[in-house]
Amino acid sequence: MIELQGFGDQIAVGAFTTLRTAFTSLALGVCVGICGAVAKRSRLRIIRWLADCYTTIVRGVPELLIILILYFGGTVALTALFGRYVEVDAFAAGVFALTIVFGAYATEVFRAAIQAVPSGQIEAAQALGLSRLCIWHLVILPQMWRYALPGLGNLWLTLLKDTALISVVGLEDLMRKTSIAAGTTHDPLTFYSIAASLYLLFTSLSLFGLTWLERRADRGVRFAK
Amino acid sequence: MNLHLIVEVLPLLIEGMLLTAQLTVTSVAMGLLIAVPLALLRTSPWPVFSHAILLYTFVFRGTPLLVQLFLIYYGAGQVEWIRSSVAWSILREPYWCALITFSLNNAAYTTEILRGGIRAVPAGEIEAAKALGMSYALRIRRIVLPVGFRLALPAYANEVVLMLKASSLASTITLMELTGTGRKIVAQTFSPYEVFISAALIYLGLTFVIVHFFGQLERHMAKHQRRIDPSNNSRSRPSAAEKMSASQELAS
Amino acid sequence: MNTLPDAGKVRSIISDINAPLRVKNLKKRFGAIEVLKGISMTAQRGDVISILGSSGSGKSTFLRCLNFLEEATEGEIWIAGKRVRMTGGLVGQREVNALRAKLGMVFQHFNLWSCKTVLENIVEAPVHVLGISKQEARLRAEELLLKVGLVDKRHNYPTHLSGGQQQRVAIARALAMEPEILLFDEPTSALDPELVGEVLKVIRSLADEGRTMLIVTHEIGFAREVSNHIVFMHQGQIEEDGNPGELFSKPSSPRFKQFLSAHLGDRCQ
Repeated sequence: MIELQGFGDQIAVGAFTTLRTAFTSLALGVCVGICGAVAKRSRLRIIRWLADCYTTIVRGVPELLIILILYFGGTVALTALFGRYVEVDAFAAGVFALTIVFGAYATEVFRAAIQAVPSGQIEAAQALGLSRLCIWHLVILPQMWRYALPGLGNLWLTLLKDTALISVVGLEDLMRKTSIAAGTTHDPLTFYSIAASLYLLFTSLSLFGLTWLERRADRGVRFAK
Repeated sequence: MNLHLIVEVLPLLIEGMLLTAQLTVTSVAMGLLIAVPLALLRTSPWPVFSHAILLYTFVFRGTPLLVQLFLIYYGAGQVEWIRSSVAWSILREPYWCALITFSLNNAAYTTEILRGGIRAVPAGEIEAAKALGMSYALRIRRIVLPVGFRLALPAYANEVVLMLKASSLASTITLMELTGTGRKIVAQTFSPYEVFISAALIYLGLTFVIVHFFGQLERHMAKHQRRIDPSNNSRSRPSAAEKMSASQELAS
Repeated sequence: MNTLPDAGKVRSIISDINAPLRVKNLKKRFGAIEVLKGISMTAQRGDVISILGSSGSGKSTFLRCLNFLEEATEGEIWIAGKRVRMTGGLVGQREVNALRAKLGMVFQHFNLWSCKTVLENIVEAPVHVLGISKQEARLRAEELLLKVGLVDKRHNYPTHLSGGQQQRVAIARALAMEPEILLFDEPTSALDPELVGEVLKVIRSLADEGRTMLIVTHEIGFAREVSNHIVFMHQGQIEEDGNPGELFSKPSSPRFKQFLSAHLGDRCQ
């Protein structure tokens, strides 16, 4: 076993924080993404325009900068609000930032997935006199998942790796714990290698999980072909 | 919003932007240089190569860039033979560390993108090249790479934008590129909105430049797919051969 | 002295050696399935041989084996007097490429390079394989385009052409290598019926020029009219062959009769 010089527990805690951050951002980001995709199909031009602005801006600005803006910007805003120095919680700022980033990319994934739902089915639902909400709920959303899954899988892998960026604003995640350990022990090679292996483990497990999910989602379809 | 401050820090940010652009362009160029042979080997019939390269792309695509950067920047100095070799004069410099990490990282993603493009080259077009006696190297150079790259272009354009954004991580190892400069100014002025949003706008501008460039390139390369007006099928400049064609045509 | 073979026999042996194409006992196995069960055939200079057969008879595989697009399992192939023996092992790539350059292949789906113009498609191989200068290759390409009636399309991309036009370009591309033999792999099967004629017209003109050709086709009427030899393949073997006049008037094999009655009904002119 590699000598962790007593930092094993800390790194485990950090890894847990990383996963917690990633899963929280995933859940929120999927919601944002669906809202964004719906907004992009809106009848109102202003809403479509706002959705376009959102995805264009977020996809053109570095994730790190978005994290910095939300963290430092949030701190300044809260300080002004309360009249005394209030620091934003790194976890909240990080999850917020990753949600915004994930949501922007997920918007495009869901938009494409919704388009992939055969239009004949939507027309059939309209012909049956279903309401717009009903059509979304009964026809579009259930089928959209299958088309969205591969894209979402890629976004999840990116998200998992992007959590490391929040360590820059002080979130005690796997990356930050590793940096502390590396600095204290003067053994960065070992500790960063361990961190890399753990991230690789997470992404590998995710890949397995995603393959399984995709196969499950495709089950009914392959018969249809 | 303090417009005065923005005007004041803009020259500094632009200076940072130059470093950002330099890092991005160099990493993308190096990445492509590494990725082309790797993608070819990855699609080659020899499993030894394709497995080894898969391992490389898997590791670089499966771990955060920040970890890779720190591993090379902080970790390399720990290895005795690196420290005592000439490589140390390079790996000591944050600039070179960033460049090496970015290039390797970019190459891993580009390899897989190019592989996708190469695999999408129609089998019939390759078969035609074989049937005409073209050697493997010739087929790769004249048919597989041009077609494959064209097919991979949209995905590659995205990858270049991602590289631009990823170059912001250089700020974590003290490089004063756009994000690094922004952080430094914010630390001095405590006005994150003005500075960071200005930096964000500059990044957006750079993204637009990249997207526009690749859009043009794609349009240029997709000229074979553009419909042309059938009435003026290059009739403007009749050549000698064309004038004869009327009398000698075998098939009409 | 009296062991000398007679003059006629000697001549036939020599002409066999010099034949553009000679195949002896060619076999091809895909796993356990034997697709070609020993095909032997000789194409003399100027021969136009049509290969007929229902789908799955192995006729396309046979053609692809001649061009090494499929590697035959067993047998011998002579191309322009040069022998290649198939023993299951790899034939040298360099040798294969040199031989391929002597065989012009026209595919069912044309297989033009979509990213190159018509002219670039034709010039590509002569310049890069034969080492002909670009100017000369261009001149020759334009001559060939004249022949197939597509000079005015030389700067177009394949996607702008109809199927028939693409196939005529593909024929010009094969001709540009000045091959010993032309191999046609169902050249009109992927075409709309109204475009078949223009391609057949080009092939017919090539036959009139005295080119050596092997044509795998479903166009029985065309095969009968243009070729001096018909080969009917069935389940990886040559079931019947001979000159078209005899073969069509009194087919001996019941399978060939069946084949003819099934096909002459619909597609014959």
